[in-house]
Amino acid sequence: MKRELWYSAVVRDPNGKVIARERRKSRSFLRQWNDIIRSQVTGATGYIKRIDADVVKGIAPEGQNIKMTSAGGIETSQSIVVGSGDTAVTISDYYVETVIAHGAGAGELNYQAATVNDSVVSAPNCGFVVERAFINDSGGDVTVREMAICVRMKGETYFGYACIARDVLGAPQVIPNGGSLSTAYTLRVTA
Amino acid sequence: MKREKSTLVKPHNEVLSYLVEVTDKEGHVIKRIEAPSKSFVRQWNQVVNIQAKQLASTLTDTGGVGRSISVVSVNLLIQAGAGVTNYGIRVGKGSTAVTINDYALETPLAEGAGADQLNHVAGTYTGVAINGSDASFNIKRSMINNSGSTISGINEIGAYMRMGSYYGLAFRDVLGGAVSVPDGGAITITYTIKVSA
Repeated sequence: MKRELWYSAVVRDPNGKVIARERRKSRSFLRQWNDIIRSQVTGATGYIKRIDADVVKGIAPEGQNIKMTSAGGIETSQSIVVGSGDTAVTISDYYVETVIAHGAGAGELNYQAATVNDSVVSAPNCGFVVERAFINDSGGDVTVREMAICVRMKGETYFGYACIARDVLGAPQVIPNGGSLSTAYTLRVTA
Repeated sequence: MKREKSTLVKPHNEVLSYLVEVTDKEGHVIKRIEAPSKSFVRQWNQVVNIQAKQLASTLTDTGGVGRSISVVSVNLLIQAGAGVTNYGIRVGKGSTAVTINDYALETPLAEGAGADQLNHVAGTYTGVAINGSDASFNIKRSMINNSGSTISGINEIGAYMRMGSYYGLAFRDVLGGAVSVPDGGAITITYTIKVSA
């Protein structure tokens, strides 16, 4: 009767040993998910708030809507994104609270390519998994407190990015220098 | 007015619910059913997956045929014009329980004014509304009985969607009991898609 969203986060030390893991039902799709779904389902243009807080360019039915794959140069705009904020999720959130930048500087993580797996049916469920890893080459610890899914979307003219789900982790995850964080979201429907 | 109401579940993530209203030829509501939807089915998730990964996949259409579905702007479109039944909200007489592998209504009622046919009105929809921690919108469609007789035994409702050049089942529900639509009356289905934080 519902579409469920689950996430997982696994932290490894520099030797690849798992030092922490978390798997939970996602706190929330955000309103942007319904803004995009509404546009696709109805064929109508509408309102949406992008990750840059722009609310003017809107949303329209478009082939690239919901794109969750990653690409160079937009590491923190599309697919799974992590941050250090821990403010509770609200339906109107439009991005992570404090994004962790892509890179090897202090407090940064190297965002790896994301994978969007095929849908798999295992009655009564049908779901698919989006995965992304982050490597800490910063020289110090990096603490992740939140994660989100951002997707490519388009208004009548302009492409952009919107955040469709956000979670505050159950516990802050400290990624040691040389270690990594592997994340996954599962989007599933159940009959 | 006969009224049935099931307990609505507490919303988690993306939740679907429906409202069925039957009116007589004067427009009076004679039956109303409101309940959580049993199910999105596999094609809904698979089309979202196609959009997410931006790659074509083979999906089962409403005729039970495997079709290669590409990434196109009309994917997931349910809103349909008058008389259109390839996609849009539909009703039928089937009563077999929903499964994740359903690809069509079991016995959908056709467009028309003959026996067991309905005239499908163009669908309507609302914008996304915020209510506390919820964000929801409705899609709605009426079907008018101009057949000259009561149409009885309506047990199932659902929505067909565009999948590229083809059509797929997005969601399907079997009602708690059969519904009859009198001649000159109508059945109106409203689906609500809601996400909650």
